[in-house]
Amino acid sequence: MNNEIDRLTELFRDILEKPDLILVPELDGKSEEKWDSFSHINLMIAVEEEFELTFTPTEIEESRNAENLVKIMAEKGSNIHW
Amino acid sequence: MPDFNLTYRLANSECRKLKKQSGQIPLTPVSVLIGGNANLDFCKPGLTVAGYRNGFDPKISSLPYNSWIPVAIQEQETADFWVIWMTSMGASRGGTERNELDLRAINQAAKQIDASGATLILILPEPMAAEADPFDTFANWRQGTSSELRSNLPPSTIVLTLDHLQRQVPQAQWFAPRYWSAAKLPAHPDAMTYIGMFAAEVIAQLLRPRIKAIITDLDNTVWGGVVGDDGPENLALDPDGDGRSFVELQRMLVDLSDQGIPISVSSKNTDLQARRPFEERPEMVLGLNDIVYFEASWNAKHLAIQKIAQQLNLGLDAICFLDDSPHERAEARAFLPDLVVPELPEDPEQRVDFLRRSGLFMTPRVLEDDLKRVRSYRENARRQVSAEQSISIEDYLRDLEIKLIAEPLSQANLPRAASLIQKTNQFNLTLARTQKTELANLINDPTIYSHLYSVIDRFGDSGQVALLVAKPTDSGLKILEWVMSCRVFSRHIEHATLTHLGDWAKLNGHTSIIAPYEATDRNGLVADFLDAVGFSSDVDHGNAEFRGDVDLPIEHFAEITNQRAGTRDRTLQ
Repeated sequence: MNNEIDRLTELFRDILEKPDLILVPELDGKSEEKWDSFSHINLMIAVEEEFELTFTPTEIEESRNAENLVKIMAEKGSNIHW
Repeated sequence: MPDFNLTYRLANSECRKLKKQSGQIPLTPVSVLIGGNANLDFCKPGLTVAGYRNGFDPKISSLPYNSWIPVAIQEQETADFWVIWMTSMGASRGGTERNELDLRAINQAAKQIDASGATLILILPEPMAAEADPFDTFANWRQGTSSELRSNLPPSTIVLTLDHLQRQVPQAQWFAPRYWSAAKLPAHPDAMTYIGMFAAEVIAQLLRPRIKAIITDLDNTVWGGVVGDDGPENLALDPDGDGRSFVELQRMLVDLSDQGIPISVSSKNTDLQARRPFEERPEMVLGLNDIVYFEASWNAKHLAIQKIAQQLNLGLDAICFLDDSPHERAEARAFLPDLVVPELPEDPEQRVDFLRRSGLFMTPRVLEDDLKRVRSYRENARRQVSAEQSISIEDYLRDLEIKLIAEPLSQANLPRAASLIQKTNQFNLTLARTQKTELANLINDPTIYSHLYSVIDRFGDSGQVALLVAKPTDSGLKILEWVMSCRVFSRHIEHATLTHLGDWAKLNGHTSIIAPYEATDRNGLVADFLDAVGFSSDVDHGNAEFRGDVDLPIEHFAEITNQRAGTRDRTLQ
């Protein structure tokens, strides 16, 4: 767990309107019903802005669970890890 | 530049609050279907926020990707407005194809929407990043597709292009094909937010109650100059010269009158004076025949406007009042909050363009029945609010925070004093037209009262606008010159100047003031004023020596000072 995870958690809480959300690798659209396809794009835009990176369409598709999202962000140079 | 994430949060939280706060004035609910050949969900927050800002509550449903045509044709959904965007991204399959649109189906869907009583707002395909030069094949395809689309829509369709929005959005916030690939977004969510806001503004223009009548001022609005001061022969009305913009406004009024919007006049003038340019100036495009009610008097304009509204049997929110004077506009607004009073630009050349762009005279075609019920609630609420807010003329003048600056006549202000005397024909007591050289002799004479006055209020600085000169005689302090520019009429400035004179007279041991009035066809208001403040004369009309006690109580609303305190914002509005 590092600061970058906290920043990401804030984005999730804000966009999914869940002030108590805890970000865990297992989090995905099934365990969190508010993480639908609309809020997914919403999240992607927010992450792109907040962490100053750009996702490819494939990466947007693959980021539909927290574990993959963090992995892809780390691959793109972000200092984020569980 | 709108930001999607910010707007999204605003739409979700702030707007809910706004809705609760605005309690007694319910926003008009308006149902909007949004769709097209792309995923337009990301236009929704912008549309919602801008909808609230423009006074309506958009109930937005989005149609699934590419489904709007069958939904419309089969009448599966109804709404007040359909906002449909035929995107370039969708039509070209993300830029990879050069497809033709199914124009027949689109035409049929559009007709069906029209028949249902809804308004179709159709957004044409947007310019794409690929359009690097005018010979680009994509540009050709898009323009051909757009013009075919446009010519196949029923005339009731409101067609929007996005070029003007795209010019304002940085490329990186518009072109984002990765979102197309990921979720069929035709543009970056920031751009879609902007487009949603634009759609809301168009809807707001269509919802505004239609203007059903116009009441216009005359001096410096339909002609250049002041008929009472300049005379009808000197008004700016030359269409090839400095009268062009005024005659152009007359043309607009006549065109609107031909389209069924009656024109009335409210002018601070005598009826006789106000009619003369219509009778004597052949350049007038607006004729007396075009005017339904002609109200010319020295009374406050809101009284005339109210009278005309009653005669027309129209609500004030259906009446537009045109006046070049910020004071007249502010007064009308203060007394009649429902009246539509556009902030006419100071430059006459900009006025017609401004009025055309305002959308005030655009005719909405639909929704009248659907929204009537809601609107009547809203009107009731508004009426209650305006009844609570209605104020007296005294309160209004007090709120203006008028300052009267009285400067003694000097070499420095002599030219202005002389020109005021020469140019003023309405508020002019004697028409003595004292010449500059004679005035110069009065400077520094301690037995003579001679002051030039400036007026400042919260709308700005009117400059040096009045002059009063009086000299002692055996029978009392006699006024030699008293002139005031019509720019500051109806603000009790004459009362304030008379008060200043009265105070000086008392200090110098005078007991009465003599106002020798010489009647002309234009200065009747001076005699009315003297009567009203309690001066008496032995003659009812015509030339008369009015006489008043220096102790007469005179009501005015100005703070009188002897010098300017700093500078004030001239254009505080």
